[in-house]
Amino acid sequence: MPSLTRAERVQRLIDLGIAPQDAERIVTESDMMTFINGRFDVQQVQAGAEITDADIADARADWYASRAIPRQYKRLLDAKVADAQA
Amino acid sequence: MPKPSSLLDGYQYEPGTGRYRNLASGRFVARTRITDLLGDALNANERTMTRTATAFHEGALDPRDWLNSTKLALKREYLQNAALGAGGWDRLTARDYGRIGGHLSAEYGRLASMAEQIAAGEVTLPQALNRITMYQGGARRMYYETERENLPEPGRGMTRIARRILGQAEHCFRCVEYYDMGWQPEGVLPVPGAESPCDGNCRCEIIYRTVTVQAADVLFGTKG
Repeated sequence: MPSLTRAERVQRLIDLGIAPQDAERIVTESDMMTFINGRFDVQQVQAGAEITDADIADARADWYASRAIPRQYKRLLDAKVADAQA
Repeated sequence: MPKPSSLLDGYQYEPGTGRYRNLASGRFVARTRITDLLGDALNANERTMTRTATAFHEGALDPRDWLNSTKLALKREYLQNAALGAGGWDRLTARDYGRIGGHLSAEYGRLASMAEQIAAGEVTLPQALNRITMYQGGARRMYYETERENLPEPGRGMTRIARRILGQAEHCFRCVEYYDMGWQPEGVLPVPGAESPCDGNCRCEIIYRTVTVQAADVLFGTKG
């Protein structure tokens, strides 16, 4: 694969359907990751598997932004528990 | 006062029934609507993941960019599906976080391995796309697992029964066996994607019904 500039890599991701802000984030994370002699560093790869509050906020925002989720159901996952309100 | 049309519908989750209720209409959201949302969201993500995997396989995408884009999509899917099954974001617990993180750690390892194999020319495009479908299946399974853990206790004299429904897929023999078992006591049938050779390719559903103990005896083994 020919060497691409950061801007070209971001653009490729956008062209493939990735949201621009996500494409920027992905390339930034990639630039901090090694891929040497065809191998990833497994610790680097698995480092982001834990779930943080920021991940929840990100997934929540993605649900709102998703074209697959009809407008009627955008707030579905923000449901409050009925018992707690009684 | 009528709700302005610009406002998004609000929802309430009722743990006692395990169902979402639309606050404006007062109606429960049908479970089939929930599973349709699950399917629609996964299908949309799978289209994007198919495009990025194809570009990577064709050498048009940096391996790290493909890996990180797929990791991000999977993490979002796992979390959204878990929240969908649990009754919303507020009902996800630290235990859920740990369980999801454990699944993702394993999936990330498999993704990295797959990326290395693609970069080395050891995986065909159809093989790569099949694996993408399986990863999606893992995210789908997260919904069913979380839903099962959050099902309400059946009342006195009542019991919950479950039944496997075949989805649109090429079914493995095990899923057909589960379907043929009809209604079973809760816990007998695994959630879709678990304990069957089709693994993440499974597109079955599982449905539940709370009935009297006497009614359950009549229903066991039937599909009625």
